[in-house]
Amino acid sequence: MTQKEVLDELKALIVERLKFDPRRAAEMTAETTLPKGLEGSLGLDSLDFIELSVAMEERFGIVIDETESLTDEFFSLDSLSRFVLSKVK
Amino acid sequence: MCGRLPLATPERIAVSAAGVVTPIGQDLDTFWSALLTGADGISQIERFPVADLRVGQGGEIKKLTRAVDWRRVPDCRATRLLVSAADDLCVQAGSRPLDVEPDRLAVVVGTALGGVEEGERALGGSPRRLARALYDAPGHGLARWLGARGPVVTVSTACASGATALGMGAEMLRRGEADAVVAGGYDILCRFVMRGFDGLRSLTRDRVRPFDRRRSGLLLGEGAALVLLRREREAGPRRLGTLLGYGSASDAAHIAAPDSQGRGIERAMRAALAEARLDGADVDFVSAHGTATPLNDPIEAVALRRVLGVRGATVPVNSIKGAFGHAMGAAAALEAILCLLAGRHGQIPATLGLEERDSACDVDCVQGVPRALRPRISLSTSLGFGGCNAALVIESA
Amino acid sequence: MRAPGIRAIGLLSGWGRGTAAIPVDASEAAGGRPVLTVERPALDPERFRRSRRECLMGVAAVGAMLEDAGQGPEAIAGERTALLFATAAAYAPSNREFIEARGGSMYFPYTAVAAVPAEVAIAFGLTGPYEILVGGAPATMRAIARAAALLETGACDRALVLAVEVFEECADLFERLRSPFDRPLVEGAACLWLEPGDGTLTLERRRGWKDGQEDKGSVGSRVGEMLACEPLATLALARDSAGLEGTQVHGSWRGETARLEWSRAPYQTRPRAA
Repeated sequence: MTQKEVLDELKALIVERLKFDPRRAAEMTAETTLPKGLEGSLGLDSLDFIELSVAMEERFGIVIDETESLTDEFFSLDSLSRFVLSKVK
Repeated sequence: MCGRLPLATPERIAVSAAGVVTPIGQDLDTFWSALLTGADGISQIERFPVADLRVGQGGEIKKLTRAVDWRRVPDCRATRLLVSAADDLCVQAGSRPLDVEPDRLAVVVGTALGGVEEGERALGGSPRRLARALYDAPGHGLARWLGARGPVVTVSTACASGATALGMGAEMLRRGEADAVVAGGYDILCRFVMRGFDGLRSLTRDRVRPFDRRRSGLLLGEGAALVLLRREREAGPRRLGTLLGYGSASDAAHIAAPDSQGRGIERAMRAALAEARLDGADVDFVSAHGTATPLNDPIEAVALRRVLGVRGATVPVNSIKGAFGHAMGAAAALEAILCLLAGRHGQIPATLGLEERDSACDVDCVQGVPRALRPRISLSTSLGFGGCNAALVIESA
Repeated sequence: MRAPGIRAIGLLSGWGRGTAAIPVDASEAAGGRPVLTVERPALDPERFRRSRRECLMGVAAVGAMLEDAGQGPEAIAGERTALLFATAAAYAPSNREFIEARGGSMYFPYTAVAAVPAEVAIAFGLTGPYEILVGGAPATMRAIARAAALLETGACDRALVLAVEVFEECADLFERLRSPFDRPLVEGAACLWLEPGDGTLTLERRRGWKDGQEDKGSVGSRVGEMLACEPLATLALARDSAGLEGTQVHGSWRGETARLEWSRAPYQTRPRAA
């Protein structure tokens, strides 16, 4: 999988599982930040991140350790797609 | 913060008796000695499939052992837990049926999940009517078993439900709507709730360690806990204590996480103390919510320190959730009963699972062994999904 | 207890917005439809992207109440506003979806009865006393009485009593429940704004169903089966026609019948033994 493919899958998950509007997803780029509290970010909170983790596990066949702090990985779509790639390899 | 004082001191409400059914005991005495001896009520869940979940442990009641004629009780686990606790309550109160005119006996119960398992059966094609799946059905089942013809109320403030029920029951007595109220809470351990919390990654794969620096989440439990409330002037000498105050508040923060500074639980505590005409300096013991999630415990601790004031560093605090998990709707009622028993016996059970207190939870947790102390005034705190916060102030007899 | 005053009422129902939409006869107006639904309110889609329809109905009902009062949300925000919520079955669709595994993990918190009032509390910053009752019309009537008690003791300056019912997603299950009812099930969301008042509020209840047939023109025959929303619809209709004084609200649920009455008679506290 390429990073672009992972990115597109993540955007699809964000629409499907986090109920974002598809038009909003079309505007998202690798630089789009995720966590609540950052200006211009998607404003995701802990509940969203849990849902996204579960969705990523199902979509990509990876395992995410919930005890690990993944703040850096969940910072942006870029960092998240790199994280997924590292797990898929 | 707690607003204007009411016009008159609220009428005192006595707790005449209590009854419980829990994974560590199906009567009050067994429950109490199990807490004191550090009995562990957590086990591998057997009643429903859990193999597909990350965690399959919980505080499960393996078999209801009280001598109740179960043919007279609907085949609904939640109702049966309530009836079991009510049977213990009647024994403790010294009469079955309770010595109250039926029209003047009210029932107020709190639950997070109600009879949700009946909903699973209804959807599974079993010819069960929706009526039994609605959350207030078990409360009515309890009222029928008790022969209560007074008001029957179900409250559902998530994990604070048991406290809300006691507060509402007290208010009904003050208004003269009943002469006695059977009040408390219940919830069952079921696949619905296990899937739910497992999916949220809230369950620990270790053990429940309230206030411990290694805590990693909660486990769920089940049970029912009921008290018999009466106006104090009519209660007679046989009693466990007095319900002095109840307070509630909303966090308005997040659907599933508490306010990060514990402002909601602080408001609830202050409101309960205000109703009791007391303040934090009067509290001798706190039965905390203490779920052992990374988030809950330190938030609760800082809120307690703000409310308890200068004595906050030395007022003993415990959590009983290490012993049998989080019994949800039953939890607050069980913790209120614990406060009364601590006052009766002059001992505070240790917090099972706590071995190395987290410095971020800067309260005096009772750990290792029970502490010899007879609290006169106890505070019980509860926090639930949807920003529900409730607190009870209890005076021991 | 001391009767509270009603500052405002917001009402959404399967008939439409407010009391103007309520027909003279529900069964006739329904024309055979078993359920009358409320469309998902069109609130900010990204802010409320996770919120379920019933949660948004609660938010919209409070919005309608504020409009009725001619006030903005700042008038109710804060810890001096109590929020009381009553419902018989608003949690049924979320529970059904979760049981049928159609919801992901983040939807589990929305299965709580508290989900609807939580969304309302978050949307409007309500941080005062907070109580939630489960049951039909008597539960809402009790919530009103409880609100009156909170106002009387000074625990709050204002109290919102909110009720929400949704039936569409579980219409097939409600069919099994419907046998006593020949009226349509009508979804609704209503919110009452109460403040300290004068006069006396009385809540009475007894075991036993309503006596005999209801009069044509009674609230139930007009609004349909609204369960926990019915008392608030009754109050909205009463306010439109004769005003509140002497208003009686009736409701039944699971073999209990309750009556709530507003009277101008001055409230006298019951004497208590020392």
